[in-house]
Amino acid sequence: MLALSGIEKRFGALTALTEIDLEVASGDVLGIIGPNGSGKTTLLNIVTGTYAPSGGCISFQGTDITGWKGHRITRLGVARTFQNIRLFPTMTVFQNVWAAQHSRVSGGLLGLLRSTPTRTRGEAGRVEKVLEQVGLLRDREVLARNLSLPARRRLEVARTLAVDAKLVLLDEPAGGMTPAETADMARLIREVVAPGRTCVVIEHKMALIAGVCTRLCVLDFGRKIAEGLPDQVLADAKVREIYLGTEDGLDA
Amino acid sequence: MDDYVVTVLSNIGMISFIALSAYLLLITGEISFGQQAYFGLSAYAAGAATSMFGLPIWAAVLIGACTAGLMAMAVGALTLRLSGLYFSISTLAFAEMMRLILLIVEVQVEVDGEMVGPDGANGFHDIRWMFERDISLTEFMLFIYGLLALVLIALLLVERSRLGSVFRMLGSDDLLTEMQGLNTVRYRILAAGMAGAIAGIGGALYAHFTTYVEPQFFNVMLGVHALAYGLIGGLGTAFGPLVGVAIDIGFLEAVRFIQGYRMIVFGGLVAVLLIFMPRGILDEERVHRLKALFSRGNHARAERH
Repeated sequence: MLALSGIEKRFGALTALTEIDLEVASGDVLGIIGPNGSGKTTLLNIVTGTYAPSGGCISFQGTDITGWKGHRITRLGVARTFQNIRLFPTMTVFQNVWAAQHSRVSGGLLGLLRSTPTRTRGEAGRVEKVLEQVGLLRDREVLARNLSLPARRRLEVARTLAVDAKLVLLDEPAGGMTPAETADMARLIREVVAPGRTCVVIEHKMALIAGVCTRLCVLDFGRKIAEGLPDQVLADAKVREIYLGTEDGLDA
Repeated sequence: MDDYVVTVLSNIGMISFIALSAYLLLITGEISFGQQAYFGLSAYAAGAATSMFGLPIWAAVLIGACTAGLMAMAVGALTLRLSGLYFSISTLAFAEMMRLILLIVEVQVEVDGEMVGPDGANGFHDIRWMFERDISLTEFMLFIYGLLALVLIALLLVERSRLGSVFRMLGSDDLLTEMQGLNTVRYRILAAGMAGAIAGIGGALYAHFTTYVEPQFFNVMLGVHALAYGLIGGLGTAFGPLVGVAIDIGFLEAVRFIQGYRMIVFGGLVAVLLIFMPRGILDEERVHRLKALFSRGNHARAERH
């Protein structure tokens, strides 16, 4: 599905990523963990075309997408959320999800003009279905900026569901959430996002990682130091030392 | 109606076009100090169409709007990759360039034994379409408002559609818009072209209303006013800039005792509004609440039936 080989990223003198080789198979939920500044979000930004890699290549479903612009990669079927939550704050919940479909409307400019929230033949229905799945249907007409933090994170997830994305990248989907809210998010990812889609999840919270990931990859100082099944990776002595510290902190 | 009132109302109508033009760019997040150039360019192109080539008025308005729109797209293709302040400065530079070019353009043809056409710094005289056809000021005012209504309806329809949503997305978060699969530069150029064409309609009407245009009128103050109208009236709906125009010309011009101090009051009003209502009177939040109020009213009525 997604294959990275020899990915490098340098910002001036700073090397953010070194020699990253990574394969995500169809249907996988790959968790990327690592300390702050280890390059997790940079890696995501490279996959989505926000940054061009300094070296190496990326292929998505067999297509070489290295150096492609972000909008082209998105249209191939890649959707993402953001660590610091990016929504259109002065648009409603409905409009935020509706917005994800704009690039998929057929008929070019005329298609964009003819399509209104009330006259979209099935598409608006799909937005409502997605809002129901993430539990935001009642807040349909609320402006995004007036939502609570967990609701805003769920709205970001809803946006990835409103189109036929094959690969969904979630950047700390439970960031800033309480344990109960984290459990809700884990359930949402497991039961709604993951079925039928390939996912990459960046997260610090073990509760979420353990609940949803089928594979794990560990980054440290821009290098991949471990990869494999979650239990194996988390038991790895090197991972425990670098990421979790030497003390037994697995359930922290 | 006396001629003074008709003239003021016509001015409000014609200035509304450039206000809507600046507004369309403001909602995509671009501050253009150059919309007056498209107003002026179209005034010349449309004036030439009727006075030099004897074309009908609808063709002149169309030619003016298309010329302005295409020029705006060409300038946009060059400048829209710049961001923020750099874009704004470049729009000002291009506008001044076009104005200075109009100052030296001398293309005159002989019509009925008289030389007609742009005459450099002397301006472009004798755009006499209204007199030749014996059109009254009131009739022309109705023509202005008819076209304004058409443009306003078109803009409101665009705003309801996915295209309008794309424009607002651009104004809100460029990277996020790109991440929704949209080629942001392409849509920015499209918005620039539409905004140029709208300013162009106003310019074409202006040339025929005053019968005489000169480059000096299309200086940066016109563009700055155009921006201020949207910022005062609000960026939540296309009615916003019209409210801004009505406040400036309708109220400040009409109230006698303010007259000498109009620019002072206007400047103060802009400053106060930018502090307390940064996105104008009819901003997104208020428009949203008004819409909710309306649709609740409709629901209530529907339930009663």
